Amino acid sequence: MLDADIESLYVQYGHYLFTRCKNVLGSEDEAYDALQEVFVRVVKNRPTLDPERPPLAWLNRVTTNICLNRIRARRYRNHIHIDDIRELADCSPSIFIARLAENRNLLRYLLNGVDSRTQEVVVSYFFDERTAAQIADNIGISAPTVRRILKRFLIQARSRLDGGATVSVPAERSAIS
Amino acid sequence: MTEKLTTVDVWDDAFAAFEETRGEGSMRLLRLGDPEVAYERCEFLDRQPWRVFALQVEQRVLRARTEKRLRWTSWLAGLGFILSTAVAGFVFYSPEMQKSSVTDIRTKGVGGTTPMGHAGGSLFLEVDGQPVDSRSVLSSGSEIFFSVDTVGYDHVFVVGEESSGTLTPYYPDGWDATSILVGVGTGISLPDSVRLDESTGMECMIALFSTSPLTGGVVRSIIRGTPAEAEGMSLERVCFEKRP
Repeated sequence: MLDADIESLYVQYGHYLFTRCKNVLGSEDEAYDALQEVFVRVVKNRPTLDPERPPLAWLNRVTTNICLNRIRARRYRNHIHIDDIRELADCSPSIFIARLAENRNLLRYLLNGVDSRTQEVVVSYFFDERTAAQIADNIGISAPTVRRILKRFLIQARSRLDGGATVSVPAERSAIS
Repeated sequence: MTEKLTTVDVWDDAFAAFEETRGEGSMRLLRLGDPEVAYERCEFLDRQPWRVFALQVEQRVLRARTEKRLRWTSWLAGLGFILSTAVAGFVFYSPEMQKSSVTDIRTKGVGGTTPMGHAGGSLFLEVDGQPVDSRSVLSSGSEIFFSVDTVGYDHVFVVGEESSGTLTPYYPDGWDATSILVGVGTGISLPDSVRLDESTGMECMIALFSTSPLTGGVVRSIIRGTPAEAEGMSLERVCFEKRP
């Protein structure tokens, strides 16, 4: 079932995909579990995969989807209230972006409720720490479009934080954020 | 929120300033020929070797296939049940049957070890085709095969417990795995077998049956802490003596 081809995928990309999962999910245990899920998909989809095409783009997409599903599943559990994040809405855009990049738990919360393309871009920008140009290259859209998507997300995020209601974000699952 | 903070230029500048402070991120890990990346990759593969990872993935694939099969089986069983109930209803409540009611009907199989309708599980061990029980004396090197009967519970985790108290997971064969979906039924053979080592004394094989997958950690704490049945699960133990 798992032959030398899949083993070589694991040896070549396992560490990279694991690190991506760990960055997005914030937990080593969950990242390892997600990585297993990625390779279950590899086994299942193997007959339909084109051997001529490099597998990394497909693996990246599957990994992002699996991580986002897990974040979505956490949505209603382990909530804590943080009062000071509303202050973020008053920061300048540059400070807002920097503070958001530091607060990955808040980012995970904000990822819920946005469309899948925006989620993909936000994950690549903040969790994988790619530039707009790299994301554009990776998912096949232009860099200005990536920036437009990010702007829309950030403006929407500020409105959500500025909305007046108490915001609750998922509690940290481990020391990694 | 003020309008001046959300103008396009301000955001573009903010992105440019932010990106200047960034490193390569996870893309760095794709660099070929970088000794630092190669070292990190080796460390990862040492921590999570392919051999272990492949087994875990294989188990998940098999579990998913079993679940899919069971969904179909349940659907067909449900359909069969509805049809048979409809037929039975028609036969027993027809005017013909009302006239000649039979009162002396015995149900075949009542009085067995696991009454139907009561959730539980039984573990059976076999060596050389012979069943193993508490009077059995097994020698080192004996190969044990497992099978289970399940009613109500469809997941199982099998653990060996030596007289020293050491616990060893056998099915699945690691604490980082979760209990396996085997389905509901009788005489369900578990894959693979266990060969006894050189140690002597009493050893028990413990099966923990449950309705949902349990992690190795939960199974270990239940076996260590709660010998009696816990909520939503059933524990079965078969012990024997090991001699050289």
